[in-house]
Amino acid sequence: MLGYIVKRLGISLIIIFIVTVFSFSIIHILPGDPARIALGEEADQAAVDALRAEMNLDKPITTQYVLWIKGILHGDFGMSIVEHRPVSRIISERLPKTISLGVPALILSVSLGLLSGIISAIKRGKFVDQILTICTTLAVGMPEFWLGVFGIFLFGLKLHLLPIQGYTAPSADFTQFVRRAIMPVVCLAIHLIASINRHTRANLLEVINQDYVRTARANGIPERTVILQHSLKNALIPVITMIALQVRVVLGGSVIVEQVFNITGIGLLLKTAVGNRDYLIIQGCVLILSMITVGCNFVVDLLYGVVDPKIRESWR
Amino acid sequence: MNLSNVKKRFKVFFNRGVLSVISFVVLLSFILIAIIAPLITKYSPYEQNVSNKYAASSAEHPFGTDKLGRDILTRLAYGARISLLASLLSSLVAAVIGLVLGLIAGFFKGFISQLIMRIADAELSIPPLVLTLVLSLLFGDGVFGVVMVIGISLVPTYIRLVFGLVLSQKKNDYVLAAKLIGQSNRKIILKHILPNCFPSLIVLFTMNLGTAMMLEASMSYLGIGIVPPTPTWGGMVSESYEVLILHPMQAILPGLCIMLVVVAFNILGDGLRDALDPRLRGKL
Repeated sequence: MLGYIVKRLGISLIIIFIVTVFSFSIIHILPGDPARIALGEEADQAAVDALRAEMNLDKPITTQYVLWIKGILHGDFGMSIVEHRPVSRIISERLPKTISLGVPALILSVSLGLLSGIISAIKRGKFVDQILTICTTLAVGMPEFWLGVFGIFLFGLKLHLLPIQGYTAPSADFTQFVRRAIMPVVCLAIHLIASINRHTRANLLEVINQDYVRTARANGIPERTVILQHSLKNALIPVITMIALQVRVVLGGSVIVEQVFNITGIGLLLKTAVGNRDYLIIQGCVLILSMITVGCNFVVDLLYGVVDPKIRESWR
Repeated sequence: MNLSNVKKRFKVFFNRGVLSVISFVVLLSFILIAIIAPLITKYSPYEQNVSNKYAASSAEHPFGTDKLGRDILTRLAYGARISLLASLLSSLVAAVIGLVLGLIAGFFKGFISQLIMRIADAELSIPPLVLTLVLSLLFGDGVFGVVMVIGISLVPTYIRLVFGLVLSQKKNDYVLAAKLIGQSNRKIILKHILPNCFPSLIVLFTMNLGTAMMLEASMSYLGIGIVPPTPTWGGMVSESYEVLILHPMQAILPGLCIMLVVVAFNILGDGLRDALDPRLRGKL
């Protein structure tokens, strides 16, 4: 088990290293001189050079990388050229909003997706299964922004049931948070519910056709036990990997959803930063969001190794 | 009509063959609309007529006009061109790069293979829209930029698929036999391994068309990549947001187009998967 953990940790660290190289190079491969962008076209060359020196842009590239990583390990992501505040502070203000919508979205999609997927598999080919299949097929093709706009139109503007925009922190006013979060969370979750449903159904059906399930049935074990105890455990393993991979989809979806509902989370921050060419913010956002994904995948991999000895073995 | 009759009809409709046929027809119609867009309407998608803005549906303008008096049907038809072209080209870019890198990573063990796979992992750890936003700064606006951006962000799935295929191919006796009679690596890859990758590759390609279109629509909605006044479905949803309460159809119609095409791509992909490579069921 220890060997497995070390190997997985090693791989995660390599991935993080590649991501840092990518984030680091953002400032260098993208067009324009960051110092020039920060000071504007009219600034005189001496000031630009001074800022370049301050941002370490005049040093050799490897030195710059080392200095940059050192800064990040101390929580220093640099200064935003637009807001003139530390990037780390801006991100730490924005990130909780994104997470407070992303976590409910994940919980909603896992519970709804698993439940409907199991129902689909048990009632395979029946009316319920067909209805669910139609819904999930349509849901996969539904753009998140369009669902959001449609929801705003129907529930906000026509029926006046929900507020159309904005965000309230759950600690400030929980009911208001829930009312404002319902539509964004559903938009974030919609694709995920559908794909978890599809994966659960397909995997469960495959397991149900295995010999040991047939044997269990032949032994007269009740159908409920056959499904819940014998089949589900094996069917869920591939589904769990898939869910871990989807954390990134929820984080990516937040860019869209925060734009639609005007929520000042990290997704909207990134979109604005791209518009302003605020390179240090972009760097910080890419790094933080990727770290979250890598971290989640690592934890799931570990759980996985605990649940399934076969996977542990395959890493020897 | 009683309930059992409804159920029976559902079952007939639900036969995979029928659904695949319907999706195929939907796709063909959209492709046709995209190609013959100038014949369908007499307007230009850029032609403004401010005196006739927000016109209601009429014989002249079946879906009315938008805030600049541009014909909505025309913009939808020309939007189909952009969306279909962008998704097709970007999937091609992804497939070609992914195939080459996947073949290299799968066939040659060691550092190169590790490097390629870890880069794919790293790319997969960056959320999809985040990656496209950053890459769009590098490749700039316009169809070419969007094709490259979406293409590159779809590459990792191809690398992983091809890598897995090559590894399982390599275990086959005929590859061993080819090695034993002294065939070159190049020949083994091209003659023995590559052809066996194609069925799965076609399946993934078809499924990715929908993903690519969704990414393109999301980028256009955010106003990144293909920017106004070029007509795109995503852009049209975003442009009509301010008049949502008065003219909801202006936001709903382009969204419906996206949904129809993406769903059709997915169903077609499912059908192809079952026909070409049923082992991928539950994985893709």
